[in-house]
Amino acid sequence: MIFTDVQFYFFFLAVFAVYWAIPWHEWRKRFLLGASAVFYAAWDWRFLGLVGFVIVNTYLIPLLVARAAGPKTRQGILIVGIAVSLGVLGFFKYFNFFVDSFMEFFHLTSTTWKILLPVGISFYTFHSISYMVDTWRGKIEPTRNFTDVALYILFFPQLVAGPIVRATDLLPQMRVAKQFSAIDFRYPLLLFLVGYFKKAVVSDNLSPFVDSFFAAPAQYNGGDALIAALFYAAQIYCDFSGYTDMAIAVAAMLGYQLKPNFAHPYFAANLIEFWRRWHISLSSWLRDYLYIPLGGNRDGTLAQYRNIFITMLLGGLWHGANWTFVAWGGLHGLGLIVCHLWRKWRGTERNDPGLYSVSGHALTFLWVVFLWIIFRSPSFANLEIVLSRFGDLSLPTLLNWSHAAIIVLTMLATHIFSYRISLQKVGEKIPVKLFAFGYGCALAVILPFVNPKAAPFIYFQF
Amino acid sequence: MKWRLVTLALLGFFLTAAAVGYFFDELGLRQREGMHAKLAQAIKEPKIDTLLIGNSHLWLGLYPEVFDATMAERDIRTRSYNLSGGGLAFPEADYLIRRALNAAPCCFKYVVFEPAFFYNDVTHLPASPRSVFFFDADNALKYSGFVLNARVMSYRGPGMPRYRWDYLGNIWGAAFRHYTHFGFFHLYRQEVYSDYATDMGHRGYFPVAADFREKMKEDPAIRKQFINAVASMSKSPTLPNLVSDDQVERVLALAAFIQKKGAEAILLRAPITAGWDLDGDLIRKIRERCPDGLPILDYGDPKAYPALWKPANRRDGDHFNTRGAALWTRMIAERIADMEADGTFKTARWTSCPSKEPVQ
Repeated sequence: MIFTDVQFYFFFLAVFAVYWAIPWHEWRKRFLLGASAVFYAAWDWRFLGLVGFVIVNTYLIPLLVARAAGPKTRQGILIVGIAVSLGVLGFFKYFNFFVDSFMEFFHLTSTTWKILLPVGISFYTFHSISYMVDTWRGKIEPTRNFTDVALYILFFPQLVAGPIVRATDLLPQMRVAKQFSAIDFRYPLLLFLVGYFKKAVVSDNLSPFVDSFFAAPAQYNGGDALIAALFYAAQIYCDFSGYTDMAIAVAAMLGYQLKPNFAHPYFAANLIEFWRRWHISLSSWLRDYLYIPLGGNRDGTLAQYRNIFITMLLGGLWHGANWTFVAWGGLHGLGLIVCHLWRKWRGTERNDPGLYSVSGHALTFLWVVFLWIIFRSPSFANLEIVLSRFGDLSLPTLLNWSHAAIIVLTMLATHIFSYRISLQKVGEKIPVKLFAFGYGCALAVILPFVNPKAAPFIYFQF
Repeated sequence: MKWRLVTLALLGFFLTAAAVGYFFDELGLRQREGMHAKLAQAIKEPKIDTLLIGNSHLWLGLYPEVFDATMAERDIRTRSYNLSGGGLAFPEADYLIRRALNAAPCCFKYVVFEPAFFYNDVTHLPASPRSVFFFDADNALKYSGFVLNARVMSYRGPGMPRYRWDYLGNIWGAAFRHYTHFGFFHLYRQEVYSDYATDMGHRGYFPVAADFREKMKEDPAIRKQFINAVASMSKSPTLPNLVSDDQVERVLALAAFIQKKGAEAILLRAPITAGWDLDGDLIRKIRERCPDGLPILDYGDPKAYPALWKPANRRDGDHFNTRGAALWTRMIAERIADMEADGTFKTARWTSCPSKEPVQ
């Protein structure tokens, strides 16, 4: 059940109606928890037990830490809690990967287990760690309310593909009773429509071209490779940011505010800025729970670069059990180090003006697109073929130009529109009746362009 | 207030969707769907006076040029069109016949139709252009009635609708797409005319030259399956009760409509193995219901028409190749010419089977 499925709309309408019909806040949360479990079970009910285990671990560890006597004991309990959550992630996501890699390295025969990857495991593991660490750091009081902790992990809008919400953001919101009349639905509805457009119209229409290219790159020429790389850059942005928009909108309709996860990343002037604009919740999570504990920039320049590199390497691995993801993360890390060196050499912490800025934008975009090729390639063998295609620069055969132009223009328009205009301001300015009528009209215009064979959201696999 | 806003949104949606639909129609985009293109050709083609309509067995089996030539040998001038399509369901055939006869200025002579209840392809893929184009509210309601009143709905395997609610879900899913244009551009990019582009050069007939004997040689299982099916059909077994009174009435109502339009309705049973028991039960019930009524051409008995069951005349177990199509079409045309000669059409006027459809 994804946000673009018809089943989801029936599900959400039912949840929305019942949720707001319940007058008691605690019972609303319990209902939302039940609905989230149903949502997750619709993917695979067998993994409900696993999420339940992670929830219990996340609930108990901060309470035990709070009751423990000395700092060493508290730290020990925290490490155990994190190890349990990471252990679950490691087993289900990386066990086969490491065993295979080990066997391959030593030329041994591999016997891979059939381990299914539970959907959303990378996201809820990070939620779990965030809560445990933040309570240990004293940023938030551990709660005795099991529903709150369980709902923080299971809250269905952000359950399977983020954004990675901090306990410090969501738990205080859970303590406040929601008022239906206090919610202005214009902004969430508009945000949902924009997210739906990005996913169902732009991403799903680009997906067939990208998929056919990466499935058999040897059959295509350099023009096709270029188109496929640019399309993938557009696809992954529209897919993931579209999902996030819809997640934020759905949460807002239930009275919860989630932070934005994207801020026009392809307009970044350098890689440092790109990572402040792309998947913000992940990059800030990695900064707070990995880069800073590693030492951050406290131990000198070399140590800082080492920490950046390690953080990005692990950030790459977080995306999936494949060496291409590790390479993608590592190269982003190297790119970030080069940016830091450039800034040091130029003697400024701010972005360069003028021509430097223009070339910075262009270089950043090209580097990001190049790295997306690595990210999208299923293996290094496939990547080698893809890169070899660029040697044959002929006109693309993958699609006709009119179709390509429509797709790219639509994507650019969406990006620029959301860059220049704050949806919230637009939503608030339109009179309610006009908004309702216009919303219906806009939906009717969008639907013919939707690809009915909706592909799953790309980030669900992570 | 909230309900007013919801109503306003719905109003905006449906007004815009209607405008979008009008725009698509003006550009002729929706009409690119295969069966609709065939219907348009059948209506526009000058002097078409005979419709041959059923599912793929007729699509690959009835050759309009052979039909007309055979009729001409008997001094009957016709210009026929094969309006058949793959897996054409009875409600879909009903719709196409009514559209064609209502659109024609006059003078249809014959409508040879095959009500194959085994086939319901238009309900199998709610996201196909054919389903989306077909299922407006009227057709969706009629087909829903058909599904709810049928005695059995055939199950054709994994991925196909199994229960009646599966059928209803697909029907109304397609109707939703019909009015909202959901996925319109993607839908119509996949299928334009496909095989129908070939058949439109042959007045709706789809010629296939393959020889079933080669396929049987390659795959003994197919050979065995075909031989067993023909053997069981040849035994003339007792037919189970598979067709409901409602289904019989729908067939009679369509026949009455055809007659009302001044044409002769001729019910056809194709020489096929798939769904033969359903076809057999329908023919039996129609004969019981109106013994001196609807003319029936029944080719379901392998003993009576052995040439039609020869693998050399077939593409596969259920479809003719060009040789078989010519043979079968000739047989049908000769039977119709015989009926003209012996006065069958003049005497058979529904005396024993009153129908819901008023007959003039």
